[in-house]
Amino acid sequence: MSRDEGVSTRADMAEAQEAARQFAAILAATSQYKAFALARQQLQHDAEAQRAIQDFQRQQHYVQMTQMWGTVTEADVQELRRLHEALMRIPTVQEYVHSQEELARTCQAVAHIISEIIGTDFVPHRSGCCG
Amino acid sequence: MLDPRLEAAAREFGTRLAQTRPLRELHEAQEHLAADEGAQRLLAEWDQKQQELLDRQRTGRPITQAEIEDLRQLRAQVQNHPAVQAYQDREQQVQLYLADLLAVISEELEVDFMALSQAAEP
Repeated sequence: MSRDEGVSTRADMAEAQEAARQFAAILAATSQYKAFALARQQLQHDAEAQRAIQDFQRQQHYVQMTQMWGTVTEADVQELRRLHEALMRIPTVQEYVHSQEELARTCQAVAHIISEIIGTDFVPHRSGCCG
Repeated sequence: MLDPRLEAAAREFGTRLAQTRPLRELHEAQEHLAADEGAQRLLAEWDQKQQELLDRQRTGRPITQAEIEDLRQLRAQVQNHPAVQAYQDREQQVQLYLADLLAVISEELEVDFMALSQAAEP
């Protein structure tokens, strides 16, 4: 790369980063993002929900470890399911999950539009169940 | 229903991105690859042979070691072709470029934009 090309590429990048910031600002002003940000804040301040998240994560980690060691029991898995169900019954968690899904749909729609215009995937594909 | 303002912003951002050097170079490499008869012949041959062997594997018909070796050699020829290499290099550069921009968006939103935008394929 020549010196001129290097300068041009850096200028290009700075401009594209600025365009990305402007795009993000408009995304942040949508009702979907605002609902998500509010739900996230409410979840962070909900002590009961935070305790339930910690309990679930602790058990999830334990099940993953015991699965690796081959010592996992049906009771461990049942307990994980019970904690997940308890977590999903908490209103702030429900609102967070719901608003995240709505925001994800919005992000997928805009990523699709951008990909069509640039002629390549704006966001890399995530593989499904089988890798 | 997508917010019309957001849709317009996505179109504007996409249009600006399409004009950047990495994206322009990727499309040039794509056009060169499409216009290169030798590369297209190799790619078509690779597609056909790979499909043939996959079909045979699916239907339980035997595949010889020589056929596998033949396919490997063909893949090496495809990968070593200058037009294919140029395209792959540009594609890799664009992926890095876009990863940087996705990180900027995530930082602004305090959320993993890439993870949210990825719809899992079945």
